[in-house]
Amino acid sequence: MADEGIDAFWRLACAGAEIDPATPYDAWSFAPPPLVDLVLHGGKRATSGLAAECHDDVAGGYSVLLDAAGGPVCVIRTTSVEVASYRDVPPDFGWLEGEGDRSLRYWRLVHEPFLRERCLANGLEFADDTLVSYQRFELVWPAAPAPTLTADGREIAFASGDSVAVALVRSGLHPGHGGTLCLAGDCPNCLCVIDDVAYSRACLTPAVAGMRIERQGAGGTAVVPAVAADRAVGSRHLHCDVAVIGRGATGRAAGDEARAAGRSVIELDQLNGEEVAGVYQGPRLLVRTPSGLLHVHAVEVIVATGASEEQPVCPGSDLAGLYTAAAAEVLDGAGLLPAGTIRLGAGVRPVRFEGDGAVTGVVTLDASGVEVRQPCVGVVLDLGSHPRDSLARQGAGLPVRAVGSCAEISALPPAPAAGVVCACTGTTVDDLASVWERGFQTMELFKRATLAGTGTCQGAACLPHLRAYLAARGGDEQPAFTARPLTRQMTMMEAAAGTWHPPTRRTALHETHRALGARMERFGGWWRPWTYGDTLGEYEAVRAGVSIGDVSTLGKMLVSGPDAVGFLERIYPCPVGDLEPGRVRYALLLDERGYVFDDGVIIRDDERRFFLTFTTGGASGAEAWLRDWAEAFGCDVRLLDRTAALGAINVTGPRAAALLRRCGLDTPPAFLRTADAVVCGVPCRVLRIGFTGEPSFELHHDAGRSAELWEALMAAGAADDIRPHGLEALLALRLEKGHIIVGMDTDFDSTPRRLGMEWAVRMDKGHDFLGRDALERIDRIPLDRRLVGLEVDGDAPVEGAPLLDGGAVRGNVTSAWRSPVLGRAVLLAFADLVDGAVPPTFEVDGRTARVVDLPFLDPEGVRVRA
Amino acid sequence: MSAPEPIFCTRVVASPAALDALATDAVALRLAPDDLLLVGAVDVRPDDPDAIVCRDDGWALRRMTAAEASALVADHGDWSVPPAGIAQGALAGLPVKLLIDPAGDALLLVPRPYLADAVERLP
Amino acid sequence: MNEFVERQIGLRWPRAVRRSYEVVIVGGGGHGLATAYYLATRHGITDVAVLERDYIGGGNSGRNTTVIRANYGIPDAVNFYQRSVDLYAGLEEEFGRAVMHSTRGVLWLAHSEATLRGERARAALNTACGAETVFVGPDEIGTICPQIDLTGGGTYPVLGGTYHPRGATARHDRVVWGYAEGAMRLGVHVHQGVGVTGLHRDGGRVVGVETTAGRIDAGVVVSAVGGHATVLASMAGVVLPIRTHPLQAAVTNHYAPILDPIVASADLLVYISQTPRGEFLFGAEIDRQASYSRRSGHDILALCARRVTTLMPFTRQLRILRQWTGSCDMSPDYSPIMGVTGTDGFLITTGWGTWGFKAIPAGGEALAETIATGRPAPLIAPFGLDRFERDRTRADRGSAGTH
Repeated sequence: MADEGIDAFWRLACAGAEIDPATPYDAWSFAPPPLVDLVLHGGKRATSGLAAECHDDVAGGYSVLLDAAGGPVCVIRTTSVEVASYRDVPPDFGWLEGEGDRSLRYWRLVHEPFLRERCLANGLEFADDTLVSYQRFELVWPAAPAPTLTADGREIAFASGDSVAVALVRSGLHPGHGGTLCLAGDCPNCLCVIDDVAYSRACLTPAVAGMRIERQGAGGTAVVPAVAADRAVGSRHLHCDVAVIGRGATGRAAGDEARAAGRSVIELDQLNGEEVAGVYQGPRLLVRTPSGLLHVHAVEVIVATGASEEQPVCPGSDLAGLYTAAAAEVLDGAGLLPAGTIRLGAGVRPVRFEGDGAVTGVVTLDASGVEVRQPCVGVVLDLGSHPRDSLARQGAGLPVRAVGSCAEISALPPAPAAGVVCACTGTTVDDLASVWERGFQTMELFKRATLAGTGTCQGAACLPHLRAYLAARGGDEQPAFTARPLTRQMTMMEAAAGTWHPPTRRTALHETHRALGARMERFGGWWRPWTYGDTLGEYEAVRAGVSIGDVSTLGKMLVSGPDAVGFLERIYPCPVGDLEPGRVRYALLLDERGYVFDDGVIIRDDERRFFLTFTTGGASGAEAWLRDWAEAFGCDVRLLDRTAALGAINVTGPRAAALLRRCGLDTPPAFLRTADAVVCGVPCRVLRIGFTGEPSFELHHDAGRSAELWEALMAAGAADDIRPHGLEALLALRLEKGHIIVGMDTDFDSTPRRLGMEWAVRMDKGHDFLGRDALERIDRIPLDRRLVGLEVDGDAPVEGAPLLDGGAVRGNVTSAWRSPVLGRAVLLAFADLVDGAVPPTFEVDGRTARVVDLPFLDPEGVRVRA
Repeated sequence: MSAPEPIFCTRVVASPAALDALATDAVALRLAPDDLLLVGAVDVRPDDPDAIVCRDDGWALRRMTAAEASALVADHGDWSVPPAGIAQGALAGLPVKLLIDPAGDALLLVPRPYLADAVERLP
Repeated sequence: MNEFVERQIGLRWPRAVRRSYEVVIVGGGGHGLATAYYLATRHGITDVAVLERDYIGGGNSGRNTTVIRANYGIPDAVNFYQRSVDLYAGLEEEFGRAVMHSTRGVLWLAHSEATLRGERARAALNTACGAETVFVGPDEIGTICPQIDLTGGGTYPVLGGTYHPRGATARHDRVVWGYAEGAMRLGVHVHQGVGVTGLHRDGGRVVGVETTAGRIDAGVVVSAVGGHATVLASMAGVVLPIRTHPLQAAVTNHYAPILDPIVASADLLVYISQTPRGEFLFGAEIDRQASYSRRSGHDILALCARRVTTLMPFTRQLRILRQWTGSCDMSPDYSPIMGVTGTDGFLITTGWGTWGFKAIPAGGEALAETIATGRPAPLIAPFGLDRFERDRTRADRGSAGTH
């Protein structure tokens, strides 16, 4: 041969297989070349081609098979060459060719188009009698080792290309524990635990060396494996105009038609390992494949899943040795159908099967109605078929079209007289009779009272019999019960493939906090430092010195436009138009029902430009809230959410102002004032607020400079023993000042009045605003409960603890903290009013809690303004 | 495909007409009729007295080819990538924006708070 | 042998629809049938028809995850559900039928400080109201349910939670059929396949229903429908503050018993339990988009599977059998709406969100009392429709989560 690489390979093979290297050989590849893999790994031992093109093939000849790149893969020896018409394909060729499910149906599926194409290339017309060269061969080198797997603890050999079901039959085992085999994925009779995955269909799972199989069978339960492997499962999305499920003749024709019309087509077939598990809105198909989960998004779905063969229902139908016609064909092709297997004619329904475990006899009726018993070791049944329409029924109401036999209505079988109807649940005909007598006489009730049809095969095997039974008892046919996903099952890991937990956002200081030893917590959709390890110390740094905290998670929004003032007047219950540039105003946000759902501040940059803040939890909804109302009100405004773009660091404590002066802020703004300034070289919008109860300066800055600003502040504050504070300390600090946290100290129905925050609402401000109508109405109703401050000696009770009065629950604590500076626990709580007033004391956590005025600390606001 | 990294952009919110009239050589993503994202520091002055023009540090960017973008979306998203233009959607549960130019280059923008997740989820 | 075949309950269907009943209950789910049952057994009112447009128990009664618990967030709710927990515990004796009631305990897990705070509050309030709920730390959680990965896959570590020992499950169909059988035995008519298409009114009062089987006069009409409650109520001139959201759930094949308690996570928004048959039932939160659709989606299934496998790695290789969708009628305060409506002759039980199954006995009992006495039963008085107008909503964070 010209190719040195192939020749070297040949010599290597000759040495390994003891062949005279001078023996002539041929070198070629399959069409398509990757089929060579099936020779090595899939048990392919035959090939066929147009006889007109295969004159040179003779028995005894050697060939080096090549892959797609022309590289040598293996050496085979042709053992026989037979020329016969396409129609007269040898019955074992489906199996020997090793393709698809190794059935003749699949062989025809792929060979007809191939032979048509070859005829065309040779100027011939393809027909049923076109001559085909059928060649069988053996693999000479490298010798394939006989692969093995473990079944019920026994090591068994199998042929490459076997499904698990065929491998088990090959070793003399029924793949389940009995019942008619369909080998088409329709019945539960070959269910196995395969590598710890129970309820796996052995007939649809290719056997792989080293697999661990436990036969489970229909109705068998399973044990959850002690250790569940964390098997990664891939997931992919494909898009097309038309998805065709089923590559039988009908499906292929539908695919061809769509392609001819210029539409993109994806074809799926369980014979190729593509099990469609569900049809969803879209339409979207969920497909289980050996390489992971496939999502197929189509404009239209064509279901061409064909028909499933009817399973017999009679005494003994749970024995081993029973096969549907199609299953028998597969097994026969593999030479696995035992001698002594009886084939019953089309439509012949047995009266019963006899045997103990395996069938030893079958009883049928002869033409005159007399029972005839035939001894046998196996029975092949041909009871006709019913539409395999589960996917088509799931697609009702979607652009999903069923074609071919899955769309045809089949005649119901005769009502079953005895035996197991639903193998998955073990429901017998007697069970059906029993529930019928009890009044469960419609399909859905019938199903629920027996559980028939709710097992692994989801009614695929039993539904025709259930319908037949109901029709016979009730006189009219009832529709099939609802088809729901999953038609083909998948593991939890498969279902979860490609899906992640909702992400939690990180501020630009995330790694900085971690480096400082912070315990990060999810809070309002963000990771936030809960504590740096010494919450009390962090608290004290704020109260006595200086501290910084990351408040980048606050919602931040720019609003500008000709209608900016009018728009914000309608959004907020406080006045907006009178706000002067340079001032900061605290504001509640109310919904249409007058309930508080968020709070923040309003800053005016100029006549028609504003900067707004929102809570961390409220930020994500703020933009949608504002945009929706701007549209509803018809306001001409520009909106920009700045939450992710801006970082914010709160510098707080009695020594905060001094620190900032050292950092370049010569004149720190006064309480509730704002200024633009450069701090530590970073341009900032500085907001002077007082959430902690101490002078506080929020430095809003470009998020890209957060880490730089943080480090500079820490360095500049080192002399003051600056330390960062976490969320836990912040919650305590603000509580001492009586500041609410929306979501913690509010309820779904918290009006400003219930929160004691009427001061934040100006009903007379001269503008309508969201919630105003509701407040006007609600204000006429006597108040039932309100947020109050409570003090209790000792440690803080649990947040949420009930307020008791004479044993009755009269409210609940919303926030609690044992204040180091006050020496007692301070609480915010909702308290019921009695005769229009809050009682002076309640029992909380077995102690007396006294109602006190808010805030607990610095009521005059001296510290915060310092 | 580059690793995703924080970038800074210029964000312009203005009347649609003002944005339509804006000429710039910068890489531009028109996120909405009144919202334009420009990659890098760009000095633009839209003809709208109420325009908001500001530096935007809220993004991380990843450069790739259009083919890589299509593969990434096929693996992690349930939407498909247009031949050119902007697409927005979720990838591995993260909100992203994708700009495909006709020359076959693609920019993937992820909000900066999701950068670490993007590194983990979109290899 | 299939031990789940119904061998006790027998349903006696009426031969014909009468033209008039004292009470007509629209909706043959758990609530409608329980109301009929308690009317008949507790108040001697048997001239009752339950009209079901499809088949009994086929709506949300057959689409839930059968959890029974009382660990709610406001006293009125705790009291109400505690009554239901008690009634459920005695239901087998009441019916003389097996309903597969099984006390399992409910574990509610927290993976964040914010949620931990909520769980502490739940335990404190429940205890004050007489429902047993205890705060538990990770070690106790590991003892109660060793299958939980306390590290939460390294991403959702379990910080603590609450344990509600009387949490239970029961087989939903048998609960529905048990009420139906008991009511039928005393002469209540339960009609399947009879859909209500309109209401007849005389002046303001509702005096009957128009059905696919013709007009039926009624002394009182009770809406116990799920899903389209607002549609029926609007025929009576009653505006309900209800939005209907789909809720999806799924079930695996059956496995040998391994998981005893019902486990829920307030952070992961997922819950899972193992049925007496051995299937694992799991679900998550409601779809945000309001809809009457009962079409299942893949996204929710995938999210549930991700969450369940994070929390309980042993479930990774379990094979999912089936998924389905129910309808959750959500009120603004996450509490039910029960009793009189302001329209004479028309009562309602709705707003059952994700907590309808667990409320069936107490809801039916209290509504029957309200019908029979003409006064709101004390247990459900706080849940009247007028509370929205009176600014007395019952905001319950304890039920705003899942199942």
